[in-house]
Amino acid sequence: MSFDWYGLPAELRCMILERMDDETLMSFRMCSRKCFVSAMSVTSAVDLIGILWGEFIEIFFFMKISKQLYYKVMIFEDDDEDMTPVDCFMISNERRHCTPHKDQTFEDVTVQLFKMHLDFHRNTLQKLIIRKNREEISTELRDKRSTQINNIISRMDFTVLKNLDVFEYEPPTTSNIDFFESKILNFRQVQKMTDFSIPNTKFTIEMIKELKTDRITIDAKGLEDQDIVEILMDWINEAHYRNVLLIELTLEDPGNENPRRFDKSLLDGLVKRFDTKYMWFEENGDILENVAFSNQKQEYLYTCILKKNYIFIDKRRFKLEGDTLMWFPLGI
Amino acid sequence: MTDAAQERSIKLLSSDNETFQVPRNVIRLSNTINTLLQDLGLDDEEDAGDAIPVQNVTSTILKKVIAWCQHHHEDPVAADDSDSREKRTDDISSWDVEFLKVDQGTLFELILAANYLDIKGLLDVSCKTVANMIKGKSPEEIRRTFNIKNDFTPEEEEQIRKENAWCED
Repeated sequence: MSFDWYGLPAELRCMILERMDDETLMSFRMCSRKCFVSAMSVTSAVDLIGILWGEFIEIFFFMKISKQLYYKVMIFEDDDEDMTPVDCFMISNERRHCTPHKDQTFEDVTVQLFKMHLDFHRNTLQKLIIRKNREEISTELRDKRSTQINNIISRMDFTVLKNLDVFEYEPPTTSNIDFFESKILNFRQVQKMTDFSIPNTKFTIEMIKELKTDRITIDAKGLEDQDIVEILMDWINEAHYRNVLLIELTLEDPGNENPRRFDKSLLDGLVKRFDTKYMWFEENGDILENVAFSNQKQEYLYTCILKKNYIFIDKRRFKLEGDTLMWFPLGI
Repeated sequence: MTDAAQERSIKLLSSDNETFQVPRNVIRLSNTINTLLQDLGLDDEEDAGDAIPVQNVTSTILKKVIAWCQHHHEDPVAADDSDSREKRTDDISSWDVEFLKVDQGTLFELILAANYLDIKGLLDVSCKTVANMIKGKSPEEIRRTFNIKNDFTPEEEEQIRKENAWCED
């Protein structure tokens, strides 16, 4: 007797599908039309939507089957400004068409489609990532696209997403601080996000006060020294108040000729005010490991760590031996 | 369920009329049998009476099912957290791996039996085993394994192949 797939009841086939990894699912869905539909039936846990922009405006909606399998909804333009026709591949192998009115702009149509997706996935979407295309394009073109994307996003209401756990927004340019700030504030009603990434822009404390997250990533690249101390201290205070579990702090790109070092006042604030269990120190792209410290700083950090019993999320911890800062794996 | 009830045995009758005496605390892993005994008011009885017919489960498979329950009956009850459970297939215990090294037909029948008897642990581990069975196989190999007929046109197959390539980016 062989294993007869269609001899199994549908709910058991579904159970097996749910236990397949992404690669297997991708192979499985190529077996037959029925298999294709079956594989798509486990796509209900849609949890990621992404937007990329590049040489041409492309908006991709990624849908995650289990861990890494994404489907796309692609919107493309045939001319420079106006997009027609819009062709949209939807989930469940269902193709939907959206024919723009002649007076609709590219932005109008995109907003319409985006809204349709958000509405559709309002109760299931867990992760929203809006990021730049990594492809190199001219500054002029990028600025133009950035403006368009910003306009689109500013017209969207993400607060309809009730189960959003992760939000990541990578600004296309650094010149739209106000836009980001106002946009992120729209998230104040989103409940209990577990992960929240902060772009390199100047945010106010108002944002974190409104958010219920237990993980914060602060990318402080591009902030002035004074801003770092002032803004981060506000953040740290608030994070401390709300028992944020994890802060990741990045100050500068690796290889920068004038790297910014952790300022003692910043460290002081981190340690005194931030009482989280997990911390990640990163300086000049290194995670302390290869960073030369003054004795004073080593001693200071060491004291902090002893006092606060920090656990480093990179599963290492350090110890002062003489003048050398040593790393040890946890458990030793 | 009282201690006395825990210690007693239940008789199960396979579809090919073989009777199996199973300790009550072993067969407790079957929600179907639990419900049946409770509904009939036999759960606290010293003698549950006649053998309970287990339809559609042959003696060969029922013997395997009982062996699985025997090994796992003291396992802690898993929390019913199916929504958030991560879909892993690499967490099968070595005992279960050995236990499920059976021919495909037996595995198929075990899944059906686990489903009928509502033994969640066995169902989970046997489904994972099937998922693992086709891991790394090409569509053609999966078709052969599962006895699936390819009804795609070459154009459709090519289209899906392109989509898959995109997903892998």
